[in-house]
Amino acid sequence: MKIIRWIKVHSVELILATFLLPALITLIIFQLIPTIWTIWFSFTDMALIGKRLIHPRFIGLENYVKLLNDPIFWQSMKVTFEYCLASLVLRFVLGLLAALYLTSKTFKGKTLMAAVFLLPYIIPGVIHPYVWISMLDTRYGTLNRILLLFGLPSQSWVYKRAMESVIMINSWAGYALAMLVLASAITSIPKEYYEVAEIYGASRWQRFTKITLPLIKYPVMLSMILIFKEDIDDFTYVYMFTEGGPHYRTELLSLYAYHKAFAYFELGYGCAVGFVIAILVFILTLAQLKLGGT
Amino acid sequence: MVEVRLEEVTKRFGNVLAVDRITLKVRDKEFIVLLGPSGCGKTTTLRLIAGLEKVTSGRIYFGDKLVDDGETTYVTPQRRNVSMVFQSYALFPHMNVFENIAFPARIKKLPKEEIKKRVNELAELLKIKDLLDRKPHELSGGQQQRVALARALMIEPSVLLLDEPLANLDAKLRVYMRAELKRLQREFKCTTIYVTHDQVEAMSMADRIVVMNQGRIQQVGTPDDLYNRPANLFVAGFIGSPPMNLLDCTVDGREFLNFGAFKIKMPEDWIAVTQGVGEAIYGIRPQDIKVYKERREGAIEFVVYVTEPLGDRIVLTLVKDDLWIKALAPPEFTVEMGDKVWILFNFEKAHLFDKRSEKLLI
Amino acid sequence: MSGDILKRIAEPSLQVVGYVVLAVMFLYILTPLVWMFLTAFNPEGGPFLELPKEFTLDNFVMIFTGEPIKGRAGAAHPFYMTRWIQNSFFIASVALLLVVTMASMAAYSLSRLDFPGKSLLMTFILLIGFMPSMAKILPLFKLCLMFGFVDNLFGVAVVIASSILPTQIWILKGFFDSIPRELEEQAWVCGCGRFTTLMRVVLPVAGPGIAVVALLSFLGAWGSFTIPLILIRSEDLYPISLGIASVFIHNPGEIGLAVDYGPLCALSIVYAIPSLAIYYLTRKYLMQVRLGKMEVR
Repeated sequence: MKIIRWIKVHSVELILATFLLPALITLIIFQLIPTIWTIWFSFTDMALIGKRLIHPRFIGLENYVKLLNDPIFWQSMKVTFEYCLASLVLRFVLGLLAALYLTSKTFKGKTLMAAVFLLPYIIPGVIHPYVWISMLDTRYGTLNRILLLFGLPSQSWVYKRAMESVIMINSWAGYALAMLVLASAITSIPKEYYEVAEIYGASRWQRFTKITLPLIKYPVMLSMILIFKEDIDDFTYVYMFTEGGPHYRTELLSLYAYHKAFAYFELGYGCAVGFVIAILVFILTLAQLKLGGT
Repeated sequence: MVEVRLEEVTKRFGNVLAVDRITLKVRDKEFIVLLGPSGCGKTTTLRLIAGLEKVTSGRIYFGDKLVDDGETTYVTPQRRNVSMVFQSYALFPHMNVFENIAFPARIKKLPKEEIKKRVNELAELLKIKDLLDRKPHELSGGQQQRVALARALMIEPSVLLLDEPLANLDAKLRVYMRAELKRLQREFKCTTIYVTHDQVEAMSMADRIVVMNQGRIQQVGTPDDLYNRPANLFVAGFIGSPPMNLLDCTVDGREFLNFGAFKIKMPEDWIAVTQGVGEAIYGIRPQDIKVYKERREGAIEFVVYVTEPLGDRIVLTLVKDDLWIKALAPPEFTVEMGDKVWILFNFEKAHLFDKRSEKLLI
Repeated sequence: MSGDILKRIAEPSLQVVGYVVLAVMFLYILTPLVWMFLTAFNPEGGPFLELPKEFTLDNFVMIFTGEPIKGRAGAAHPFYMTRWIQNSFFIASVALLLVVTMASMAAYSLSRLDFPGKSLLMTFILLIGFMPSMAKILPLFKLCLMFGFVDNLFGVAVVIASSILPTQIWILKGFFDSIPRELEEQAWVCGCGRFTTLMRVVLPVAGPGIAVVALLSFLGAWGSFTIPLILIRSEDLYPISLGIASVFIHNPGEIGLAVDYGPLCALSIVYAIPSLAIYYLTRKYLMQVRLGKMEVR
């Protein structure tokens, strides 16, 4: 019949299409369904123990109303924004600097540079806070020692300036992402553009602002979007190092969602926070794209 | 070695008609060239013969065997026993030259010694013997092209297909390879189908040429046929370098051709054919126009616009009122821009085309 | 190299400044790592940078055997490094295999096949990968209960693989796109069936891309913390990430508990070695792909 003939004629394409299935099925089951469940649970009072685990009730927007009146939630939002903004700037600037060094002709030792620059990104994230302990310790830490050297007062990094510490750790480990994207973008600018500019008398700074910067606009945006997405997800540092303290000073949204779900067992509420995070990411990413002119 | 037959072959890509009812018979051991401008359908036709595309309608035969009929029958490229050289050469980057050439034989599981022997023979023949352990990216364009050729000749194919293989080479190498390819084809005696947009290549290499435009065959013939008896305006203007002059004119009264700026009396055999014809196009090649520095009986006065001395001849661009003509003159014919010259048309070598149908009248 | 802004700063004085800044950057990057390295061999390490007075391997012994050395304070919780390494290794290898296989297949299909809804599918893959983790992780426990993936290392590997898939599919698709179709067509004309073509032509040429995917998958799975945190309850199944946390995690409310720095650093070094090793092995291929990444956009 016609269908059988169609199958025979297109047999190759059909087999190719089945190549998609393993990945697709895995994504649907372990990525899509949890997302849908998160949204669904956020409208219930599901808990991780007790009666509400088996018989959760549908409570509509109650969780969200609770959210809006929850001072810790707003504290968490504020803290998360601080963290994301500071990290974005630091990770991007350091990444750009590193990329410029990597793509320049004047500075030697590219392999060494690349190896050193990538080092923090490669070693597992769980280690990062512990590796930084030596920098942050109040009495003997390297940071404070340097400050004292310049006559500046030493800080209680771990207790009083927990947020700054976490931001520092994050930028130390994370600039490599921007570095890779930007280095690749810079090297793909044809050198003829610079040569023409030089012929027309453009200065070094002009060449940088009028050729390099505009031509890497999209990779810059891409790296910012990727950085932001990673930072909003950040969980490990605050979980291990500061437990969201002191006094919720480092209670990032992702940690708050986790706490609510697993420490307070309020899974529904936690999912509401999780969903809010998702909405935030999409809104802010769209805003970034609009600002960048896509 | 087989003959390749296309019967009313048509290929559509969505709404685009790439190949329009092509009927063609390629003889066994023939070197045939598909010639035409970009987008005329020649590469698509080649790919249909290779089996890389399926026909929308029509039939393709290899000898007696039907390989594609657009419905139930379709033989995959793997089974057609053709060899193909792509314009990009498509050398496998992860294999060295030896392995690239040996590839078709390895797939057919020929014995190792035989493969080694044949690869060396081909490498010797194509003068790439000392490149055998290099990787493709270490080779120059000309070397890569010869590797691709060697690979194509590794397993004696029924049909050898070549898609603009000389396009990426520099001018001098191209001239050299044209001769080499022709010689190779004679030696290996393969039915060869060659695609190009360069009419000089086609003229110098082909047994027969298929001129194509917009998916249709314009004319099939030997180089001599195409040059001296172009079937229509397109072929006339495409073949020959410098190209044929094509001038608008009208049949005036019974005996004259009116070009606007001047009138010429036609010879008897022309008059016989031009009755009832209104607007026409007069075609004459630059080499068939005689140029004089003084007034002559029957010659027409033109002004020199540009001279291009080429060493063995001079290409003159001449103008009269709105009419532009190119003519060739011997190298001693010194004129300056702005000089007056007188030209005579050689009617024996000229052609007339009907303006509307674009077909050859005489 | 193109795009060379710093070349323009060719005047010697500015060049010196450039090197100074570079040196500062190096110091910034390396100081914590140097401390980690030194303290691992230090029997009396502390949170300060100094050369150890004596070098010892005791810390390494301690984390592998779980026995506190005589005269040293034990950690709050014993070390089971051997077991943790085995678990981490199992998870990372399985995740790597799963991701490489599934992503290659999907990416090749997306690169070579055209079908209605294809761009929709690709947008779906992109978006689901972009979704923040917390929106996907919370119900994971309940979901994995259904599959028997709780307290199951294979299950953990599968979940980790699924979280890595979207980006890797995009990377590989970009890579496959840059392999010209003519290469495959040439193989067909030479007599290769599609499967043979895949094996003998496509995969070898895609080698660098696949190496990068393998590297990224391994790194992602080896360092994964959040997913094992949610899915693994029993201690003998802890990967290294959870292992470290179990030893050094503070009580709720406290920050930066007094830890035994020596073993901590020894642990960190051993944990970091496989990551560094795999990076070292694939670094050649990274160079080839770095420019390819821009095409992914």
